[in-house]
Amino acid sequence: MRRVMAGIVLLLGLLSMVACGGTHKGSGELLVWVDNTRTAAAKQYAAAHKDLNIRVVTMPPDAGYVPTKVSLANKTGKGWPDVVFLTNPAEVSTLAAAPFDYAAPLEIPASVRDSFTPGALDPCVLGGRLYCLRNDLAPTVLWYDAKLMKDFGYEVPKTWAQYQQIGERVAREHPGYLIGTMNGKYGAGVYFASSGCPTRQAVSLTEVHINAADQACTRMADLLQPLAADKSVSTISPTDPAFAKLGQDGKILMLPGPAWFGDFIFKPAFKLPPGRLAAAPMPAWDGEDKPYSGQVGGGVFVVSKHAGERTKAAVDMITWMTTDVALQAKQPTFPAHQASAEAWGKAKASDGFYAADPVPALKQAAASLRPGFGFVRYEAVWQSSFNETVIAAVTAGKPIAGALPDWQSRLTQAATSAGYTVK
Amino acid sequence: MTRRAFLALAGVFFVLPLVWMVLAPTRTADSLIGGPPLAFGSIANVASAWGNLMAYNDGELAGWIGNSVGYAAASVALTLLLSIPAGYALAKHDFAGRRAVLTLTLIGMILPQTALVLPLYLEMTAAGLTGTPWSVILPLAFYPFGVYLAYLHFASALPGAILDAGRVDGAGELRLFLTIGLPLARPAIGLIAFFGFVNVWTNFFLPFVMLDDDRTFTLQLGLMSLLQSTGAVNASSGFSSLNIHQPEAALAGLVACAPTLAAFLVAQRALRTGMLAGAEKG
Amino acid sequence: MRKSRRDQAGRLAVWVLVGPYVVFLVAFGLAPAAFGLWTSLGSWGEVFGDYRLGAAVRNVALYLVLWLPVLVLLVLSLALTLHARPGRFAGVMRFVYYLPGAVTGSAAALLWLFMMSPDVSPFGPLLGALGIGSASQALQGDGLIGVLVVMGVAIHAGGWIVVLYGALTALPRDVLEAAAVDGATPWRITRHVKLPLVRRYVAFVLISSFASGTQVFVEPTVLETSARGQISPTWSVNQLAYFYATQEGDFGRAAALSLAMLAVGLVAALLVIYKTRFYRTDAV
Repeated sequence: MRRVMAGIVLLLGLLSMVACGGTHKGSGELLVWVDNTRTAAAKQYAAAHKDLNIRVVTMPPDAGYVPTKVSLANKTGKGWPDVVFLTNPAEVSTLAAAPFDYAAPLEIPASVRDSFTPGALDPCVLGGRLYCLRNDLAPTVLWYDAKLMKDFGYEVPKTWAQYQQIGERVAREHPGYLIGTMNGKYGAGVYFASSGCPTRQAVSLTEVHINAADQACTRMADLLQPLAADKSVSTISPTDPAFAKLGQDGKILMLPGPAWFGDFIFKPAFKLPPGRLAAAPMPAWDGEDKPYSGQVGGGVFVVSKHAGERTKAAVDMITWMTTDVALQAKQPTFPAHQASAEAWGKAKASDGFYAADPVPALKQAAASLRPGFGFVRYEAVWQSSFNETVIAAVTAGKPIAGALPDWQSRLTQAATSAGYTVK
Repeated sequence: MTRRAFLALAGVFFVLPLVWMVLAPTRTADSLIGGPPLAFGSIANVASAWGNLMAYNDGELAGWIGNSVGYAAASVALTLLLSIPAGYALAKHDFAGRRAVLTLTLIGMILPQTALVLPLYLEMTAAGLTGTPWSVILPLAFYPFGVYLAYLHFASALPGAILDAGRVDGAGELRLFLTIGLPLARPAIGLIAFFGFVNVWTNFFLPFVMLDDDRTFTLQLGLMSLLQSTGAVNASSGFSSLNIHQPEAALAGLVACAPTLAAFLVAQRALRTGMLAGAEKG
Repeated sequence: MRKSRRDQAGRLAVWVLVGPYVVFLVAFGLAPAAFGLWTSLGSWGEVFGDYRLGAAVRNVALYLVLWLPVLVLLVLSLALTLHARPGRFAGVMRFVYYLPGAVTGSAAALLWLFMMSPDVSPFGPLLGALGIGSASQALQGDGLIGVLVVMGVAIHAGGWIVVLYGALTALPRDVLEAAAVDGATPWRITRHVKLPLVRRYVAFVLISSFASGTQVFVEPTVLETSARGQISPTWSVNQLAYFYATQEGDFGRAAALSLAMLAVGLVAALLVIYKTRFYRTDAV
């Protein structure tokens, strides 16, 4: 038994030697936190700029991860990353405001700003200052199964009224097929945000406009009401295995959803055969000159206020990460940078998975983001409260419009407790 | 017979999730969605799933396994070093403060540590240890349940008369512990090591808060990063070009839980003994 | 004279043995708790005025009301049934009951997402009978509590069965044999001999589970990673405390709420310690 104890002591000794090789942030080091998808590019940049002494850390892209770490670093006064990538871009609003005070306002030349898709940087502007550079955009488009649409003899809808008519026909003629789904951010972001329903219109870091009674909200509620009732629009989350099953069974006729649905939902999860999926712009509202897109996703880069003399190097790096055409052309999702989006589109255009080149629709969608979709600190509640009110109403067979005041009050509560004045 | 039926029926409830998880890596992602819930694919799929996992950040998974093993070994070793002597002293000596130490130990056993993680973080920062393995190893080495097990063991398995005989022979108290107490501690060591190991291995929250650099991550923490980065659990995150989907996630999950189950089997004997009078920490 | 020197040496020896542990107890138990208390000063009012607290308390209370009885009854009945005829089969089943608890973290998120999706779950027919068509639906509203109860039972039962079974094997053999000789049926032995003898352990399981149930954090957090945006990030009280610290940057409120929950657990812990006299703190 003594030998066991001696062994333990020896083991501890050895381990302490290993453990002391732990990683401490050296001075003058540029600490960069990115998700796995961005790691290779960041390492490439680090290798090309050895003088900057860049250390790249792969972080979990979990919602809330970066605020958690920044909050802890704030408490101890050290350990902040100089550059950080946000897979949940709304976190900018948390990081830029008190008590976090982490995201630095960025000095970006107008020429660089203007090279982004118009409107792409709008959510990064809070209280008149730019806090982030956008890596990719997730504008919504109308995905549809070209073969099914042809087989059923339907025209791709250009207006929401047509969309509704097709939904009602599908329910009668082909029950079980879907023309969309609304759940959490996919309901609020695809339908209500594209309609311009003001639920997260950040005026500044401390002011937000919320009005679920707005006509832009009620018109969407009225539009969805019959479709939810006849089940041509589902309430199952698109990432739910049950929805993947519907996809594999070829039951998805149309699915308004973000730009990345094609490559990351239809292709891997729904296993749609090549040559069937196509993208069209979102339907337009009567009385509006063009269709507008909602948004679900799209990452951003942020620079730390604590970067000190490393600030310029940090800004240079995120500028390169977001605007280098060669790099961005290879990235998995739709680039926010215009010239990159062109190059990205060229590669995508020849993808045999699509029935027709989806890029024109994606580009049009990216250029038609509905204003008023801000980055807000109550993002998580914005998503879950949609289910607690609107989806709960649908499930209970109650009118959607009747759930809007409840949604409004939950959003207002969340915004208020997140330090916003609600207007 | 009904007795067995009852046990078996309950067994089905408990075993099915694991059966699914063992079968999942043998299948493809679309067969998991489209095929029957429980079906066997092929061994080749397991091999390719493993290859896909190792493609993440140049095989970083292996590093995380190494880290987890290291942290667990160090922490369990420390736990044993602390709890065996402490349990012995609490069981065989009456000293000022004994009651307080015991009561605090018992409270510590019942209360989950999660509530203390944030203050622990600040403490570790003050000590300059956050980000190092010690920030995980040291707090987890404080394992009151281990002390309680050792205490129970010595209280029941070591008659005071033996120690008294030793004292008459003029042996000092430390000598008595080393020559009489320690050799009798073997069953307790097994139990404490098992529960301590499971406690460290499955702990997520503490390393999550303490560690920043992916190279220092534990397996649990690394897996979260890997699975969220690739959309294997939730397609809306990651957008990785890596071929990591549900079968890979299930395989990773098996790798993560295998040591716990292996420890359970190894500890079977110790777990069956009657000295398990305490409880695992919730 | 000689004796007192010996006493002194003995006292020193005791502290050599117990001292290192006491250092850890203070450093990683008492100190953080005290520090938390200090941090929390001035934040208590704000916490109790938070609109999210009511919903979180309601969720946790409802969860406890359902989960605790199911867990304890299942653990008790399985442990007693296993012990009625110990053997190879019982050994295997004990391992089986322990299995789901070993799956943690992100892998658990995937596992449980699939388990509650009728199309892909081995429990499909059961879910269908309950009228559940998809995971999204299962997680909706108070359905979430049902899912958490099932998860919580599957994850925690195994460990407690091991504990209770261990306690049962420790029962004096002669008492059980005497009862059998007297012609008592296995059921009567279980009900009137074994159960009273392990009463304290049952109380311990009950109250420890109560303490950990009030702190429920891992299960809803895990589910949230697989069903992003479908579950409120402040569903349970502990999640709310965590949210304060990490998403609102307010450690004071986080500490206050954590301590409030700790106090609830502490009351339970003290109940175990003093009421059931489970611990023989006064026996040497």
